[in-house]
Amino acid sequence: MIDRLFGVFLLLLGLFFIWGGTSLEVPFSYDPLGPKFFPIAAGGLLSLLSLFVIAKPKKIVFPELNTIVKTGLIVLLLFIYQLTFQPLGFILATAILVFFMSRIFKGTSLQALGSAIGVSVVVYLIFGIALDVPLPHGIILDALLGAS
Amino acid sequence: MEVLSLLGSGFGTVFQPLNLFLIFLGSILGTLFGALPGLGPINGVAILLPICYTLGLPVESSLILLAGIYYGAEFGGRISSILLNVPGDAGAVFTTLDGYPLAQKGLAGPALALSGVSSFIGGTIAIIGLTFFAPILASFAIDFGPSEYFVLMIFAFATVSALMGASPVKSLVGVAIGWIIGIVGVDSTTGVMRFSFGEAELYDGFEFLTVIVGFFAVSEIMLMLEHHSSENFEMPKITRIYVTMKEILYCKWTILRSSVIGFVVGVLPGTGASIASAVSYTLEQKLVDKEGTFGTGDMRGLAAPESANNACAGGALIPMLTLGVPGSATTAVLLGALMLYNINPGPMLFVDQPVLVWGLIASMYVGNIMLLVINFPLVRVFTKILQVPYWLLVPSVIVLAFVGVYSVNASTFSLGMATMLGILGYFLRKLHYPMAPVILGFVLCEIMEDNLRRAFAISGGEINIFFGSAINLTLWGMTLAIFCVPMLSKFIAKKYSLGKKIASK
Amino acid sequence: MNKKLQFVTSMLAVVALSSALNAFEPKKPVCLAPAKPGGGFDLTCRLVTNSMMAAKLLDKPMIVSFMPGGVGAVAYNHVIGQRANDPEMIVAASTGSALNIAQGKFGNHDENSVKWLAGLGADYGAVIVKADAKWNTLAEMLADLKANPKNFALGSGGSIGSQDWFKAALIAKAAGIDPKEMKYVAFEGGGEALTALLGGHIQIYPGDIAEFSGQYESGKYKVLAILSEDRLPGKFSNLPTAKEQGFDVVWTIWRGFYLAPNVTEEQYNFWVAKIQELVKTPEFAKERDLRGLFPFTKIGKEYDTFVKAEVAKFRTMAKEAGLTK
Repeated sequence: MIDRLFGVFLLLLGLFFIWGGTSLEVPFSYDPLGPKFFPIAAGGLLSLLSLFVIAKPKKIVFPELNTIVKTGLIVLLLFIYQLTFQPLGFILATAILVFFMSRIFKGTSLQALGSAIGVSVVVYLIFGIALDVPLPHGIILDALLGAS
Repeated sequence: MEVLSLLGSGFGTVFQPLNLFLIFLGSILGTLFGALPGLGPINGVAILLPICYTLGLPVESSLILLAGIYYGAEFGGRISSILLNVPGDAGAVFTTLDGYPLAQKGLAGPALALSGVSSFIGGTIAIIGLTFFAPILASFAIDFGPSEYFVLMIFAFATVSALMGASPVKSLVGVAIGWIIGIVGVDSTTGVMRFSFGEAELYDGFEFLTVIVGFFAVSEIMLMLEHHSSENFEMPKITRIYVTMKEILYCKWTILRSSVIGFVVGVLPGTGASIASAVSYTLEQKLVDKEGTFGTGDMRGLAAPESANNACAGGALIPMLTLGVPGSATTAVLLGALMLYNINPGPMLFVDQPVLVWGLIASMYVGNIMLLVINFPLVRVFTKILQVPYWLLVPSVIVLAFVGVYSVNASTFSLGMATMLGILGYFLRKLHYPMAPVILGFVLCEIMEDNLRRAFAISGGEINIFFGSAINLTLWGMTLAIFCVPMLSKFIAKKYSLGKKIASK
Repeated sequence: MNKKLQFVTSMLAVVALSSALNAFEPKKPVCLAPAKPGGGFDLTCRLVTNSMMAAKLLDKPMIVSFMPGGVGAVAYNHVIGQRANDPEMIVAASTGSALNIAQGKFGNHDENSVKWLAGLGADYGAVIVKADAKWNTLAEMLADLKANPKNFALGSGGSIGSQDWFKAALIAKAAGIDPKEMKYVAFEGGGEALTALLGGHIQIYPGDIAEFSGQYESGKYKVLAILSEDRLPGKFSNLPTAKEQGFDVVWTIWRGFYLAPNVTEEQYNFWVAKIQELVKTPEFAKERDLRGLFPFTKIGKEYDTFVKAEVAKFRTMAKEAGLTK
């Protein structure tokens, strides 16, 4: 079932690229194919193949509900990480991510806390300080340091 | 000989302390990545690549480190295969067939040692091949114009679809998805934006690192959750850690044959370690397995895939270094590393970047010896590391990968993209779509499209240009052969078994 | 007139400098290269950061940070959208940036959206062919091209509308051909195009002379013309310009910097003064020569006027070529 659903997703994706390809306009081009050809070809190939998948789906064993929920949580955590990365700053955002990830992978609260502090601080020291990667400090630290 | 003096200068690069250290580091980290279940050479290179880049290592040093991880992982893939019956990656599946039974017989130590020796021989043969064949190929690579590159791509995708996996439909879906991801961004011929939705971050298309981290780090972690919940391994005891000369000699022809096969398969664009080990294992089974002991703990059944997948790693570097066309998904990642450093791999790489090319090749000789040496005493250490708790490993891997993605253009947009691609990767892998075609499709898409259109621009729309040169005709012939060989061998096998049946009557 | 202007600006600079000294001083000066390390923008940034350091003009070391994407589009949007007030940062730009602005490829922002600081070096277009090509002068080549436009492919490192394409288009025009009728092949960077030239897949490579200089002595290629106003100094002095061969084709690839849009007058003047000081030092000249760049110095208002004129010129060119409406 899930295989078939994903097949439908692939079909839509393929159709979208065919549609997007046909609507590309350029003033002129030095080759007869132009920028349209490949999106249409790739979209066409994908939608054609997806028909096979839809017609003959394989049975896929999915993990138990508990694991699926946890997988969803990981995704959620990563999106939260993206959103908090700038405002909270690298250290705090990373600590939050690592703590919950650690919990998901069956670390005790203490282990998770240790990983959270350890990973965020060590990575910040190596990359942020030693290697000069412009990792964000976040609003709080900026305010504390009084940086402009 | 010119090759030897160039190789000599390569050793000059390698024997700088930093580079020696990086080879050592690469070998160890590679072995680790190979050994940890679920992580393989692609993940290793994908996770380390951003770190090299942010460390500001010179390009030859980065490449030495990354290549070390690449062949180190092929080396380490055997550890979890033999001890736990869990292949580290697709290339190590065949190692489990005889490796695990050997471990169950109490021969885990000798099995590890023998696979180490076979890996060493396979790797070394491939590097010698690389040393001598790559410059030859590079010397006429200049004749590869747009039309030749396009036909080469046709050949590459033909190998992908003809040899890849149980489900050709899903392999091809992978290719198409790779293309679609590759199409996004500015069209390098006309400058028009394609599918970038007005996002400036997508003007140049998906950043290579973002795609790799999404597909191989994020989705991996989502999948690890399942390994993790069903994890309860019993570690077999390791007693004897060496292998006898007699045991090695018993496998010598198998090792040599498999090394050559692995090398040749590696050179073909679009293949990889999984195909190399499959081909060599099947062939050895047909050639030497008279008693039917393969699969029950036959040393030769272990030696064959191990020498083949290491030889494949060396062979795959040839098309990458000479033509800028990766032979496997992992070399595609290495190629991405070069491009991250603004080096355009292609026919002129051997001329323009001798330090890089020969330093890399020389480092592989040293790295192979190092791997062999460190693997004997460290076998016990590696088995310990297999037990690193996931609650520390997983968050560290994801944070390192994301810092790397962020450092490329200091934008959190890429972090979100990596997560989205991770979700896509999760479903693809969960539903048994092989990932190698996706990465190859993504990397080769641009080469294929651009060269097709360049060729048409040169010929003024004439299709003859694709059949004009000797190189093109050869490539078309090889493409045809790729499709015919499996059919032919099936046909012969049928006849053969038919003949056997008749004879037995 | 020019001297007078220089005097006035330098007087202004002195005033600005003295006031800046006790007012604005960057704590963590950054040069933002809107590309990956190793490319042209990196080189532009290094020119300033290295020579500033060598001449000891800034108290704090200036670092280079990278923001690749859309030939500068990502950085342009980022600076205007998120760091509009950041006075610590100068951003590298080039002819290519001006071309993209002119064609509306930097989104809704135009050339007035940032503060143009200074242009500090230049490269010039060059018409390059294989060493064994039958042509020895630009005129011979153009005559052949005019007679049989379909027999010769021009190839370069950029898409339609890029600065590489414009060079090809100008050459085609000089031969009397509509740029749409020429055979043009877009490669991924100049290196690939050179390889294709060597392999005989294309016949004419309109490239950049400084970028090409590493290959100049190899003896594999022949330079038919330099697209500069006058002959270039140094090892290129024996190469004729297109102009002296009777074809008015000039193509300058200038390299310079802009500041964030909302920096104060005082902050702008601080940088102007610093740059003015910088270009007088021998360290700067040395660093510029090291990068193969030719002298090209326009600072402050002069540069601002220049960039806006360039963008306006490119806008007309793009319209004429049918690239924009």
